[in-house]
Amino acid sequence: MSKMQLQFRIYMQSLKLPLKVIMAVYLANIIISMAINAVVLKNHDFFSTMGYNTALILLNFILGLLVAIPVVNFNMFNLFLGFGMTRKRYYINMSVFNLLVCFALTLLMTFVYFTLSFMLRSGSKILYVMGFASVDHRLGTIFLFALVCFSVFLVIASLNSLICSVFHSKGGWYGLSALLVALSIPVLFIRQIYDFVVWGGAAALIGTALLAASLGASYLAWRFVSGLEIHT
Amino acid sequence: MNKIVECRMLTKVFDNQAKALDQVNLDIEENRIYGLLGRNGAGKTTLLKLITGQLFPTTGNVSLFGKRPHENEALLGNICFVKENAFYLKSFRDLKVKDVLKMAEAVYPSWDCSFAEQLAVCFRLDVNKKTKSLSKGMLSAAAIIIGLACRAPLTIFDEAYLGLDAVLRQQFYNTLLQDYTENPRTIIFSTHLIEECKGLMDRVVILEEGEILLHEDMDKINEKSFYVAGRRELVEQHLKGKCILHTEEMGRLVRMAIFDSLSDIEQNAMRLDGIEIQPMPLQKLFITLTAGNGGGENEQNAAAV
Amino acid sequence: MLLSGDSTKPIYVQIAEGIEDEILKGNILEDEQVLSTNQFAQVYNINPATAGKGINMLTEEGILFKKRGLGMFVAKGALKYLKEKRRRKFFEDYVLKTLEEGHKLDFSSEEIIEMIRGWGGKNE
Repeated sequence: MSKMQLQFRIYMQSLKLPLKVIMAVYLANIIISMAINAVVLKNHDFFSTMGYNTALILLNFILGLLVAIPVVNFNMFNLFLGFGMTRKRYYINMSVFNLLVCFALTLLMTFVYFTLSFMLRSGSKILYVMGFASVDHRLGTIFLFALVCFSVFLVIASLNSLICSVFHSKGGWYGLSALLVALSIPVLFIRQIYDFVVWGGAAALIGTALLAASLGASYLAWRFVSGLEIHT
Repeated sequence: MNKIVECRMLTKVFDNQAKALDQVNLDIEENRIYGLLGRNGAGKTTLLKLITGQLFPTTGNVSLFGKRPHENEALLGNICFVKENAFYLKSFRDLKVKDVLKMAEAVYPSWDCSFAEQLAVCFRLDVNKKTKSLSKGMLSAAAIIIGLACRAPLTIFDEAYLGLDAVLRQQFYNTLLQDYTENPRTIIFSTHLIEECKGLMDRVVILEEGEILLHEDMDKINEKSFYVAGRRELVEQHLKGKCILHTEEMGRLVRMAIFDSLSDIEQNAMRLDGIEIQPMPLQKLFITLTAGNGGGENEQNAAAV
Repeated sequence: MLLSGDSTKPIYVQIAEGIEDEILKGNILEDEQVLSTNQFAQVYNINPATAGKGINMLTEEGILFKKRGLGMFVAKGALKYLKEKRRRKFFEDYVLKTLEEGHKLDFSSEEIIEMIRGWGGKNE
């Protein structure tokens, strides 16, 4: 068993609990929306509305997972370092996991979104996810959608890793401040993000910018991780 | 004797608070068992974490097998640090004990698989149990099994016995000694149960307030620590110039704790004057050296030794 | 006086004998106060009941007596009594043992007696 496998096994173990919680929330969401559609609204366009809801709830699910994963990862730091692992290896393994998770989630998201959009082709609703309208099924669009998804997921995961690394190396108050700063970005640029979602416009540009941002965040996180100590 | 660990002017300050370690110089020699003693907050765990590269020194440096331990993966497989709180093993959650042991096998090149299995039986540890359901004692047992079976050239037990009953503790000491004679390695043993572990120790390091108070062979310590009791003026006359750690007065009589060599001639002369001499157990020496009463004077005395 | 943890003698016997020794050595005089049970307990880190047992042994023999409200004192004539008591045991405890060890090492009784004669005292 290599150290990467070792870390991955422990990582999957500790991911079980957050995964269960997020899954439960996700399922509850779907059931409630289904019930509202079927009983309260008595919607004649049941499947298209369901599809619409499912896609958005799935997005929330993915975001929840992306937040949970670095937190879990950082909670394992003490264990790994005490188990003959260096900070560097720990960080590399963690980054590989983050990339893998983002990749898997992108595949999932792309698959679900385009299945839905094919289903909705005849429906009256147009579904917008990540700035892409559900009426467009060209291969290039699928690729761009995947790129944007991947970069958005990656930037969330790396920002979150950065916040966790600040939290663990500088203490609770700095961590909280970092979290607030990170949260304030979408709040400050809500208008631009809205435009981006609606117009779907410069997907390639935005994707690249987000990838660059996640690289920057990852580098900063490494700076913090390389100086991390075990105090407990 | 090869030096495995060399600490030079090692200082560690946490968040601008008082110094946890203050300019510590310490050499750990190969294939000996070190007893690291000190009161709570004396800096034992800080020192051990610095040696294992888990903390970065504020100033000074550590070298392990001649290299810097921090971020050196090849080196980290050669050291095993069993921490005082085996609670961290619970982070393995649903993994069974045998899985954890398998992981340890991946980490330590010198891991002995059959020895680990044998130890699990010995410590009555059910290897099919999930780590999250282990009791405190069993967690400690699991951590100790890792520490013993890894056979790392430098193995550190930092109060590893927490939650173990007296029988298992004795078993731990016996197994450790037996395996040590078969596979010699350097062991650092940090403990509060001094009397229980003194048989294990070959060399003793006493830390107090971040400084090394005493670093001496166990045999030398035994040859130097005495209780002396008798008539005050006689005792004082005989012990002139000796390092006296503590004096207790009882009327005309005094009882002194000393840390100094007494030759047979000196001892005989004292006995003839009706003075009683008795070896002082390590635990008593530790207490008189580090206890608060007249601590400053004691420390100076010990430093002068 | 020192207590030994390794000795086969129980602690309370060690305490009683310790006090006797100090009286014999003249370190505690007659009519003088000895340490109280609690002081013994404190200085030697033992259970007060154990210390009390040792002191009781001596009170029963009349070596110590209790002054109400003041503590334990050495009785008059205690030194003489103790000397007699120890003298009775001297032959068994010391002379016989010396001879035993001496004969083991092939010293004759005469040689041992010579040795004792020859030793002029501690100042030599």
